[in-house]
Parts: sequence; structure tokens; C-alpha cells
Amino acid sequence: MDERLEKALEFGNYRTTLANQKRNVISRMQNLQKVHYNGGSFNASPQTIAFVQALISVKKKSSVILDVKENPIEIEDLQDFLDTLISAYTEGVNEYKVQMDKLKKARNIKKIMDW
Amino acid sequence: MSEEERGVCMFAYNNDKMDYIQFAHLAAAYVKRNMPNLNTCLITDNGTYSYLKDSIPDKLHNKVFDTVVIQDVTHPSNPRRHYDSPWTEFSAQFSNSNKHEIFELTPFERTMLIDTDYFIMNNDYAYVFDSDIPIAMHKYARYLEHQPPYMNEQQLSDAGIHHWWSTVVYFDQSEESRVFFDTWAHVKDNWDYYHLLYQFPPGLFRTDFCVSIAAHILNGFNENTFVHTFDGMKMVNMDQKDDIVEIKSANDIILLSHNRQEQWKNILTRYENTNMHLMNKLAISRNAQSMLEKVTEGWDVL
Repeated sequence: MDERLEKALEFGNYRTTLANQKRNVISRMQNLQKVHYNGGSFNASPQTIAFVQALISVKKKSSVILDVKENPIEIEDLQDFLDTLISAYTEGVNEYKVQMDKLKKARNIKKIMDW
Repeated sequence: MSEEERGVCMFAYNNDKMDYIQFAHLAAAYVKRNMPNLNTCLITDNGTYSYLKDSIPDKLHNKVFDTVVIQDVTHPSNPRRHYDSPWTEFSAQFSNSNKHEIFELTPFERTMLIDTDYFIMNNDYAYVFDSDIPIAMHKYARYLEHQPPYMNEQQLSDAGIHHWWSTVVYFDQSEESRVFFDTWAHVKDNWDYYHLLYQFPPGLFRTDFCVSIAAHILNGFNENTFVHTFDGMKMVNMDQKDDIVEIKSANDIILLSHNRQEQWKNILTRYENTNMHLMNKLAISRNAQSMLEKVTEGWDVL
């Protein structure tokens, strides 16, 4: 095979593999950022965190918050809830950063697979 | 509720092609590795249990299973076509006719029933054991390259009802759960009627279809929220046409993904800390020893 074509195919294969790995990593981060609290399901997104922080900043200690399925969930301790959200958010993005850093350094398929 | 009342169950009935007992021990070892607070229960028959005694080391069996329930069942003939990569196919008996009886057979108050080809590689399901959710199953799934499931794994027929997966079924001992399993049994007992009503091929008895119909009926013949979907979390399926390349560590696995649209394409894909439904059973068999060594590392059971 023409060496140029061989390298082009190898690179194409690498890009496809890399793109799939990035989607795997994002998917794992999203799962890590799911929070189950007091019977409700929440995403530890910047929006949720900012909203809970906003409630705390106006001196609210407790509140009813809608979860991802629009269920009204009574949160008795907003600070504890905020801590839980931030913990899940941080765990997710830290894992994402670690995995993405590994992928950035992997310039071929063997590196992605640690071979 | 004490931890003894929470656990994972799995059915295993060997056939002449596949060693489900081996798969069950692997799957249970993954539960013990990644959700160590849960108990495990194997449900099998006398013939398979005798084979277990000869083929599985006692130390391993005692480490990964807390309870064994033996129930002799006569399974009707239910041959299923399997693939091992795109290039090899074969048929094997699929013994799933008593899966709905898990509600009575489980020794646990809160149970997660998993298939023996489902490997728990994280603790994403832990929350459900602390909830008041009566029934949960995966409604959504994807394959290794994030492809959607096949059409008959999305809907039971063209314009039909949504497909649910019976690969992972969480339930408690509530009345709602009992009604669900009774409905599953009813659908099974009236399979000929329900395949006409819901317009799916009757050939292979599939518990996925039973639970899909049960969920549809109990939701008032609608899409609704009676069954919890694990928050829409997609189950990750390895297709029977995919293969396992290497077990890097217990929760780190490299697979070869076959592209079913462009069949000349096969790419490597790596999954870490992700629960996996490894549907290519012979690929599990080929890699069983490596998986077992990695997942039992530090246990002194081999």
C-alpha cells in the first residue's frame, strides 16, 4: 500500500477512536454528576448550584426545589444540599479532566489503549 | 433496613453451548468488587448446581455468593440465535421462562435482578437501594460507539410501544412490585395473544417484551412514570458482533466495536468504571480467566 494512504487511514482510525473515547468520558462525567437527594433526582450543573447558592444568599435555610422530573422536593438543609451538589460536580469534572488530559497526550491508538 | 436485606440476584441455567454458571460467578465477583455492601444470590437448578460444584472453586463460590436458591424448572424450548463477531453465528437454548418468579424467590427485601452477562463496574445503582422506588429498569440503551439500539430494541414493533430492558430489574416487596411481576407472568402465559396485540414476532420468548408490556399496561396504556428509568441512564451494550480485546484491570476493558452500518469498520473502544452489558457470551468465555484474575485481585480465591 502507498505509505501516504496507509498513514492517512491510520490517522483516520485514530480520530474516530479518539472521538468515541471523548464521548465515553463525557458520558461518565454526566453520570457522576447525577445527585439523588431526599427522593429527588438532580443534575449537579452550574445552573442548579448557582440557584441553590442564590437561595442561600437571600438567607433561605430550606426550600422546595423542582428536580429533573419536575417533582417538588423539599430541601430542609440547603447548605448540605449545596455541598452535595458541589461534591458531585467536582468529582465529575475532575474525572473528566484527568481522562481528557490522558487523551490529549495520546497521539495514536496504542497510546489511547495504554499499549 | 439492614444491609442483609439488600442484594443482587441472578439466574443461571447452563446449556450445551454456554457456561452461565461461570458468567454468574464473574458477574457476582463484579458486584462484590464494586458494590461490596450488597449481598448476592444465585438461582439455579440441581443439574447446573452439580456442575458448579465440579467447575468452580469453593473459595470463589463462597466469596461471591451469599445464598443459592435451587429450583428445578422445565424450560420450554426457546432457541435463540447468537453471534460471536459478525462472522460466526450459532443457536442455543435461552432459559428465561421463570424470570418473573424472582419476586417470590429473592431472599432480599430490596433486590436487583441482573443477567449474568451484566457487569457492575461502578456504584451508580447504589442510590436506588436507599429510595422508595418500587420498580426500576433501563428504558434506554446504547452500543459501544454511542449508536442507538436496533429498532426492535427501541419499540416492540413499527409505531409500537417503547421497549424496556429486563437486563437489570430493581424492585422491592411492595404491592406495586407484586402487581408488576404478576402482570409479567400474565403476559408470559398469554404470549400468543400479546404478540398479536402488540405486533411483535412470537418466535423467541423475550422477557424484555414481557416487561415492556407490563410497564405499558400498568402505566395506563401510556408512556408514564410507574417504572423508574434509573434517571434515564443509558445501559451500555456490547453487541454480539463486538468482541473483547483485553481486560486491562477489573473495571477497565478494551473492546472491538463493529459498525453495523459500515461493516468494514471496526474500532477499538475503551471503557473504565462503566457498567457493561456484554452480549457476546463467547467473548466472555474467552476472557473469563483474565476477568476473574483481575476482579478477584487480592481475594485469594483462585
